[in-house]
Amino acid sequence: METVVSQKFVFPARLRLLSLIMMGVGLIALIASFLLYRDDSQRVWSNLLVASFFFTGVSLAGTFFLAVNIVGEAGWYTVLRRIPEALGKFMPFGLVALAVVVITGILGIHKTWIWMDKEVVATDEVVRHKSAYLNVPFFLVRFAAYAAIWYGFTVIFRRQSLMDEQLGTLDHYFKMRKYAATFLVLFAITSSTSAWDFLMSIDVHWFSTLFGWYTFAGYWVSGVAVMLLIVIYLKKLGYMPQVNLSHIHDLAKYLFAFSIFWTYLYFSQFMLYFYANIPEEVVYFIERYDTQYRPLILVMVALNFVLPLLVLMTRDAKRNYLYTVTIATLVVLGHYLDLYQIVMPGTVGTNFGLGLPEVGCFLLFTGLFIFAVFRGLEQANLVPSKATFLDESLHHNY
Amino acid sequence: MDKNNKVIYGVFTDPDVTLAAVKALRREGVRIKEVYCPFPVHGLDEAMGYKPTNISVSAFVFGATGCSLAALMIWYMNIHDWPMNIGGKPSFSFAENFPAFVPVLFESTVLLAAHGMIATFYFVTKLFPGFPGRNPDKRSTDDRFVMEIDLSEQSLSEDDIKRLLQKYGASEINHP
Repeated sequence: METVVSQKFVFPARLRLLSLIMMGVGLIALIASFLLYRDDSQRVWSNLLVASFFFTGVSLAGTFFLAVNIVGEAGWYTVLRRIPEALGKFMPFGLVALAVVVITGILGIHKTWIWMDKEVVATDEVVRHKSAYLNVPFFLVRFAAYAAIWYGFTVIFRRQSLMDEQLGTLDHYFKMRKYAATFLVLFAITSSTSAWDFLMSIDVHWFSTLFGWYTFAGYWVSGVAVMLLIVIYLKKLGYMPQVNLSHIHDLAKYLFAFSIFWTYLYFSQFMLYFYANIPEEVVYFIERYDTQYRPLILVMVALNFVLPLLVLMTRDAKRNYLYTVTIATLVVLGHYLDLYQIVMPGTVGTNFGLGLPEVGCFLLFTGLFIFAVFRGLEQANLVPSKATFLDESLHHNY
Repeated sequence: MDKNNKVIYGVFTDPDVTLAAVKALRREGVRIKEVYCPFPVHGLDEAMGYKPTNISVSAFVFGATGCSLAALMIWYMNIHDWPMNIGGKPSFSFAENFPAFVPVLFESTVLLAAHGMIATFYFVTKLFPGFPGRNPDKRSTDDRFVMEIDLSEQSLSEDDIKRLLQKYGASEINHP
């Protein structure tokens, strides 16, 4: 196996400053919006839920990406491996933020999940029948399980990968494969149930069997888009010369394919309710399509489906930095918007807009995400020298 | 094949060696007529200097045809000839019931695009089922990579080309 000159990554001072400014401005905006909305702070809490779930999901997508490629015995991604690993570095922050939203919800500070309210359970028959699953103790147990499984495996993959780099033998690779297969089974369950718990139970009377996949597809494609953005940013800085256009092309193919996958799930979910037209089911869509949310949905579908489909269809576009960066950025924004329209109608009705809470939460979490991820990139060689399959990855040519 | 054209075949046993040989021979000025492979070799079309295929144009044309035909069929069946009450929404309008028609539109678009592309490919390459095989060496369907070089269009001499073939790893050199 040929050895590669590994580079240490240095967090560029400008990006560090930018992320710190984003965090600072975001935090100030968040505090200001709590003061501004002190009579009814629900909108701020809903935004916190959107941002923390979205960025936790993006970071989880990194772990999922690793697991899928390890189980599939893929080689091409090895040269990029540090990036999905670094995405996982944000996960503790995201989980803590989610925990804050959940605990304040349980304490009754905000009413994001009305089934947590004992009075609602007593008076609402539908909620009462669901209370075997939707009750506070079991919810906390599940949340603890998600945190343990997701973050646990993120740490395991990172540690095994670092050891794999040091030794250059197959031992850790085989170990990783067992862990990855286990993670995928657990993730198949937790990705669905976590979507029900955090998001679907907001509209507690409504249910959809596709909801878990739909949510997962959203943060998975955002995760791919973020990875693509980071790779191209690093290449622009002169890092990772080993990454060639075929790697970029493959990531862009992921972005293209999973944008369509997301659309497929979103549409399949909608079409069945449209076709059946049962009042207690379609009310979920009436709340979104026949209200002020309609323009938001149209923009979201344009960003998440129409643009990636039309722009990234050709081979040349997938190998072009300008096209891929533009589409990846828009897809990330589009899926943030998607999550926004999942959370908002059930919590604040039509009392939404582009204001301090929205901007504040987005800036705070984006800044924190950039900071955590790029700090994570600093902690190891950018390209894992001696790693299993590295040679195959260096010669990746499609 | 024209009898006046003298061709030679360089036979290779490995795809990577074949690819390297194609690049090297073309660099040396040898014009390679065709390479017969048992499976697609990544990068070979690029090394041979072929233009990128524009079969995607046929995909679009056939896909658009499939989509329009399906729309016409649905409109005739469910709206015009026998108006259907879809999910308790008896609007009898194509636009308002559009979501229910998307799966059919999608499937027939894919159906016609895929089959149309294959038919176009067969037509262009004259590879319809039942046609006799045109590969010069039957082993190119199994484990050999056969490079066909037409001697009538070369600037180098036959011996030079043979020497080059040997140099770049051909396991045997055959005459038809």
